[in-house]
Amino acid sequence: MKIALMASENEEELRFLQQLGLRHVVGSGVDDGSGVMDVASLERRRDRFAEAGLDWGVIENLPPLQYHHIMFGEEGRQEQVDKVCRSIENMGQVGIPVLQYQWMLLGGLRTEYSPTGRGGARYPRYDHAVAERMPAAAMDWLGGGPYPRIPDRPLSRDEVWANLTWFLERVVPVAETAGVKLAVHPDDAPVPEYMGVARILVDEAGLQRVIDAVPSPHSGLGFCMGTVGTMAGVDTVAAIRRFGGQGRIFFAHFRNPRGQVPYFDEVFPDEGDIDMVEAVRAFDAVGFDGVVRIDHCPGVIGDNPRADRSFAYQVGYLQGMVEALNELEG
Amino acid sequence: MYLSVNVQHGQDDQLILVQQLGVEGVVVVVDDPEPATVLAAARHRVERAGLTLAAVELTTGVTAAVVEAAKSAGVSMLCTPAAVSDEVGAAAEAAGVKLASRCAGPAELPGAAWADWVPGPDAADEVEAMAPRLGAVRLEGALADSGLPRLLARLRAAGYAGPVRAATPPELVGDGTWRHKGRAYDLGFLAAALQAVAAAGASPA
Repeated sequence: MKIALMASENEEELRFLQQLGLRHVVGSGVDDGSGVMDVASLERRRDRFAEAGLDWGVIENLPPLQYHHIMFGEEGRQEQVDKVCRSIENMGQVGIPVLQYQWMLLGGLRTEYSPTGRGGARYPRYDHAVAERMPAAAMDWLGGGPYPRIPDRPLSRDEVWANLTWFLERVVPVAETAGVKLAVHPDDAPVPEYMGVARILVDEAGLQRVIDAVPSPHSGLGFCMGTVGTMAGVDTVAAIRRFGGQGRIFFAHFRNPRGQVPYFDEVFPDEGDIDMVEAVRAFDAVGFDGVVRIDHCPGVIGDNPRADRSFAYQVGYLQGMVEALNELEG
Repeated sequence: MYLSVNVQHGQDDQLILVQQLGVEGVVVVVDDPEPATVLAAARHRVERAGLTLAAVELTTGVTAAVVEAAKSAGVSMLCTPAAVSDEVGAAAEAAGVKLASRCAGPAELPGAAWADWVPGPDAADEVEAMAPRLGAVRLEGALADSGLPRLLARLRAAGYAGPVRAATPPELVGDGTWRHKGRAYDLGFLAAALQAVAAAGASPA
């Protein structure tokens, strides 16, 4: 696996990655308002990363404002999908092999970020009882723009699936030609419905269905261990073996939660419910050689806004785990 | 064998950070010309923070008076970079205080004290020779590609039950003088290596 962090083109960020011994980086999508990730912008960022010795293996994510009409199944979706196809072609031209996207109409959901963890660390938490009682607690990111937003009417599971399938039918053939893999991130928090809007990638059946919707070696998963780990009743290690065994994990997020829907905390990797030794063994067993990005993590004392201390701990953790298993087990 | 780390006496943010990162037993570094006067306070602060005191590491040599102060303060181990005289070593044994002197390998094993071992490149093969007098392990240099997992596995097999700490964290951009980010990196690396070693021991491949 290729261990990575997310970074911008900021000099200090890139030095931080270099000093941690990383050779791979995940960069955000380019969003200049045109709706297309253009070649020149992608090349500039790719070259900036390369100057720092970092290979840009994944765009995370396709900017939602470039496909929100498609997610909601509303007017304007044809224009957006045409532009998304151009973005995918541009990625292929620039040599960025994986595009992660998500299908969360209401975005990500958390209800707390409180000092309730080990030593008073701040653990992001989702408590469905709180979310049901106080939607504002779970949706304090709403900014009044077109995405994310509460739609004007309920959206059923069938409608959301139909919108996703419509999207895949149009972009997957383009991705195949461009040599780009499309990796969908599951719905986080993985609850099946919120505020009348269906969330469809909330269990293993949903992940299998999206893989099968438009079957292609270029359509698969951005396997977020933290999100899969909080799906009710799901065994994350078994899920790595299942979807990795199909060759459909294109990208992964490294994170360990404690608890599952309807209530969970995001904790440090050494204290969550996922057996991280078995998880790394499973990625190895299925031959996964893609990028693993250290995901969001608990807040620790004195950290900077980028959470360098917490990320440094998690990078060290995954590097130590991989090296130890390689050295001890071959 | 357990995850540990050096913290500076009086720097409470360090105690909180390492606790958040999973450390339970810390080594407190006392840089004081009169260390005997602060040992009780060092232990008290650690325990009030919810941690246990694995050892106190002095920046100076150890005297019989310091050993007596450690005994009075309930400090069970003192680490020192200096050689230990037979007289002080005997006083420590009599007081029930483990006195660990820094050494690089079996050829330097201190006769009058225990070892605060700084493992070298061939350390894994030296574990059996070190084990009978091993008080603490102090890792220096980069952890990656250092053969650390094999060393830890050998220590585990030898039944070593003391602290393992990385003492020279990498310098990372924007870090403070104590190298909080670098220590966080080292703690993560070491925590995972210990976890993997335990798992490999439980289910050998």
